[in-house]
Amino acid sequence: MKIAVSSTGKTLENDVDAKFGRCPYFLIVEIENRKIKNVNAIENTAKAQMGGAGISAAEIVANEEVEAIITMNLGPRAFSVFEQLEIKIYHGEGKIKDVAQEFIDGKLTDITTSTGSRHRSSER
Amino acid sequence: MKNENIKIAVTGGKGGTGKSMVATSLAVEFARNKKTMLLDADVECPNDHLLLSVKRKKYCNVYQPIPKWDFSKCTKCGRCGRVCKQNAIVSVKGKFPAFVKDICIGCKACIVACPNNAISETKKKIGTVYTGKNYNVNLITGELKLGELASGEIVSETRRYSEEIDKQLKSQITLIDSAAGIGCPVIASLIGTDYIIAVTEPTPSALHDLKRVLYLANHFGIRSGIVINKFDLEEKFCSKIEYFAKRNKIPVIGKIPYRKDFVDSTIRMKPVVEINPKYKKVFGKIIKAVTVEGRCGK
Repeated sequence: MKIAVSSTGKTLENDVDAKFGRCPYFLIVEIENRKIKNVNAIENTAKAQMGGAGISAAEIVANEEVEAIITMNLGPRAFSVFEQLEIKIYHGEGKIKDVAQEFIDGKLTDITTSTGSRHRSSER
Repeated sequence: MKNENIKIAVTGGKGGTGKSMVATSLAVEFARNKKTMLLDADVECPNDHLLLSVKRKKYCNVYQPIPKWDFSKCTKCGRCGRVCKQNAIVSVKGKFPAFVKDICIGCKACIVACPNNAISETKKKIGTVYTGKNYNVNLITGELKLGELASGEIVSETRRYSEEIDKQLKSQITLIDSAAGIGCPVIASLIGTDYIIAVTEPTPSALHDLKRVLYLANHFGIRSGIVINKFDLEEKFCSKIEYFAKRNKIPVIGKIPYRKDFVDSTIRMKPVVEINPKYKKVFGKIIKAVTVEGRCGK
């Protein structure tokens, strides 16, 4: 299975980024037989979007065919998109390498409500 | 002469210049001998009911069309997502589309684009229209639902409902109190009016914004006049505005002094002419200028 993690950088050594919609990178982590098989970093092109960054970011990771995402906070719109696409949302904090292991071990809790407000790079 | 309904928009560009104060005061003065309707088109933060102590009653809700999917007909082709300019529809390969209701503006492109007739139309509430009456002024207020974007739509709809209500009332004067700025809700307030009153104050920022709003008035070919509120705060800059008006052949139809009475009026929720009747003269002059000028424009 594949999962997406909001990341501060391009490798497993980086931390989980606190915000989903406007994080710089997504790490697409492929897990097979309870082990990390492959890691791919994709840039979050929605990061600097005026509005609706969460929706676009959700679209980016959903197109990677992930089954779950790990982040710290996400807004109501991104949350709703994942809910409708039946992609699970988990809360993870710290180094992605460790967080991915926690995910494999089933230690992460899922996020059941939106945890961030709707942010805009500039208010209307 | 055409039918006796004169539509007057009160606007100004900059916020806090006194648009609502002028609109409510004029409404009260007009209503002394003419059937008067005041339309609060500052739908994001409507206040006229507070300035006139009106207990408003809900007249109706304002809705906007939104799409609804019948997944039994959906083939997950993704066309709805591609045509959505608002990015309110996320379509991912192999999954049914996800829809984010609050950013949908109701363009219906998705409904047209769907090759399988899987999308039908439903609606979401985007605002409310209220009515009320005090000081013989019939007040109609549009109010945008919090979190919604379509303030211009609410203004247009409120104006449409006001015309429906006016079939019974048969107002001779309709005053439209616009929001600050020059965007969509302001344009929706100005179009189709006979006269635009631009309320300003003697400050550089107010003059800057005044120029922009007068450009709009000119674009729509609507006659306009300037009211300089708080003119005695800075007489030097006031004459600068008057010089600008003269050069552009736009009449200054009123000058209102800065007095504590206006603050009291807001606090006590009473029109300023009730606080101190001496201001009747100032607004009477504006009314005279507008009704004469407004008619010439027809």
